Amino acid sequence: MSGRVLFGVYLALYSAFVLTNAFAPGVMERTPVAGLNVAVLSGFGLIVAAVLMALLYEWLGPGGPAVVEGDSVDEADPDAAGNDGGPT
Amino acid sequence: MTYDASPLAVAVFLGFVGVTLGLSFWLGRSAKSSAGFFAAHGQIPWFVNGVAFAGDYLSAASFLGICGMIAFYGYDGFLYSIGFLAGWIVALFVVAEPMKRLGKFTFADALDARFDSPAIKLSAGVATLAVSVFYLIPQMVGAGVLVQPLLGLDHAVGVILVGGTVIAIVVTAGMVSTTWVQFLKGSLLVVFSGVLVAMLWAKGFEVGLPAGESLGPFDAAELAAMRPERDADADGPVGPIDASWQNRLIEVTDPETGRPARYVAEVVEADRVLLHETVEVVRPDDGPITVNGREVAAGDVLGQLRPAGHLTKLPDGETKSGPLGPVDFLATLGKSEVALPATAREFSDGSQTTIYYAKRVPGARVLRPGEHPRFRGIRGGNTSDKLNFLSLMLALFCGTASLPHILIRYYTVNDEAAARKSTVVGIATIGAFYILTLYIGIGAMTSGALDPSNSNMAAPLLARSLADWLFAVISAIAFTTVLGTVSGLILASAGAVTHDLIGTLMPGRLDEAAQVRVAKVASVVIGVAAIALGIAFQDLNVSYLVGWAFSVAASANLPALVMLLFWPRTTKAGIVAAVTVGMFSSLAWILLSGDTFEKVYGWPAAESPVPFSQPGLVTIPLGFLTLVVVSLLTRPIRTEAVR
Repeated sequence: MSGRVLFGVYLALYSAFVLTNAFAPGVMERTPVAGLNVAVLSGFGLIVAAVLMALLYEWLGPGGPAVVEGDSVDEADPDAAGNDGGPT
Repeated sequence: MTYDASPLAVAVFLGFVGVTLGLSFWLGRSAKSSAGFFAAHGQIPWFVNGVAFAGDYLSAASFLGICGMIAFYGYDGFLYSIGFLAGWIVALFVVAEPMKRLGKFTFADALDARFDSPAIKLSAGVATLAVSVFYLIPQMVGAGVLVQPLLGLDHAVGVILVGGTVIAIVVTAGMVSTTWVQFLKGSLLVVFSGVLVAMLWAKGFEVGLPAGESLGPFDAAELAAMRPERDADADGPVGPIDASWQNRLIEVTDPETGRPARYVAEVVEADRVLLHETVEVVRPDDGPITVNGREVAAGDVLGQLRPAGHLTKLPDGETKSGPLGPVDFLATLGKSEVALPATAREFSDGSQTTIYYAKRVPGARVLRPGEHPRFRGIRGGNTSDKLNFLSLMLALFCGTASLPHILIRYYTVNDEAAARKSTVVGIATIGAFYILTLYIGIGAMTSGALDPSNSNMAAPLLARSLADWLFAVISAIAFTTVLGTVSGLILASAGAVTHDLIGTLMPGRLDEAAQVRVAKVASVVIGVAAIALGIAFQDLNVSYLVGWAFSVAASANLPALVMLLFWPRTTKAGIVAAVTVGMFSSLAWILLSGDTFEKVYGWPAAESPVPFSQPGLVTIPLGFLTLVVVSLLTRPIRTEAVR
């Protein structure tokens, strides 16, 4: 999966959040789970999603926006992708 | 409401400054070349760089501004957290690796990589300078706001203190010392915010009531008899008491003094109201200031205000919740009632009146968007209010990846993989902090310790309500927050001046050592200018100014950067046009906006010629459009594609 696909997914999530706030703010007040409303759940969700997608991108390997077939990890140290040693 | 200059806070602050300055002198020995000064030789480990991203990015606006806004208005402040973090997705997936691959020292380097054009360097350099200075003003204002109450120093002294410290950090070792200051600050900010939130959860909620006398309850007839005779219907609602009376200001004659005074209504038993005392500060153009009718010296007004922000009712009539988990904390608040600090202002001939009161609202209301005046429009039917909201959220999303002081951090690591890894670390650190902002803000909202006249102090005051040592540490971190961000901004500006402007106008004249000397002089000049601006703009709202910087950055820089990376037909003229049009159109829009009319010029917002205040929704697409049109009208240079 390339960075562009992940970017598209996040853009869709963020747009849905912003548009719901702007045009259907009432939805944000519903409390579907554990007494938390949609505003809090979706806000936390967007922050957690950003962190998870960033980790996923790193774990899937290098390539950046240009590489479409991103799941073939071809960096020098494929075994340690995402966990290669820390600061040196 | 009083602030005592805390010796512990002063000691901890001086300790922080001493350690950071010592560190920068020590590290500065190795930074003699421009590669060292601007980019720390590209040798910063990716993990350190990632945390330094957080230290660079989480400015006074994030820490003080967002927490304060949540404390006063609830969820709306959290919208900034969400938008600020979402912007990092653009930085990671779109900008990180190409920036590292294309550039050397500055943002203009990356834009110019394909063209070697003085015009691109100059326009991007000017844009960098414009954005950085806009971003510097709120940081310096924030510094002054903090120093005043914490150390008992004057606003100007605080600004000079922070400005001087930052200039020392930047001049001694450039990017090396700046990076370590930002790393320290980023780590401390997240760790101690975590400690603060853990203490909040352990403590849970406790019912507290705003201070001041309460009268009643009264029914409508009793209330009518208490109204002053003059203009009985001019102040406060009339007719039968109903739910709409809640939180209305009502003028009645004080039974003890016989003086007319404004009270705030709380509706009880359906048709009766309790009247709670307010603090009414009258500032005549000439003559002494009065607070609730008593004369006070200008310096003592703050002392007359009552600490604000209470949780007035818990579910099931409890008075204490006991320890709460992260989910229960928010769920309990949703079923409670809070008293928010509220302010009403009146201007009449010859005097200005400010009324501070407590506004009782259901907890569920502060956990939904649309309570802050800037966001209230999303609950109305007015399309331009909704567009203004969309425009702000778009600028936050696009702005992060266009901020020069963030972009230059891609040059301090040694390759693209490290650039990407450090962005991931940055996102995780910043995301963790932003989750905490909601809890810190709500903790402050219910702490009973807020200064009703200054939302920026919410987080430090919350810390003080929990423990003295925490107050000292959080205050010191707030100072280093300003230090870290301001150093990054000054460095980005100095890079733009030395490398993009002087380097382009006088090509080949400066050797390595001379470049570093020029950069140091530029840092001092920009630092002094920032000090002056911080003193001049001290009355402007911090987060409002940050919004300007994001809009200008996104409009001027993002279209050029993105199109250069993804559209091979982009030409030199297209880039120059997009940067110039984006920068000037967003600046012009801001200067003509209703917000600026009202807050800066003091003119009626309705006279503004632009339909909504936030420029991004118009000026970001305009930048893209300009680039495409001008590129299609000009001849591309045949070079290999960037990628």
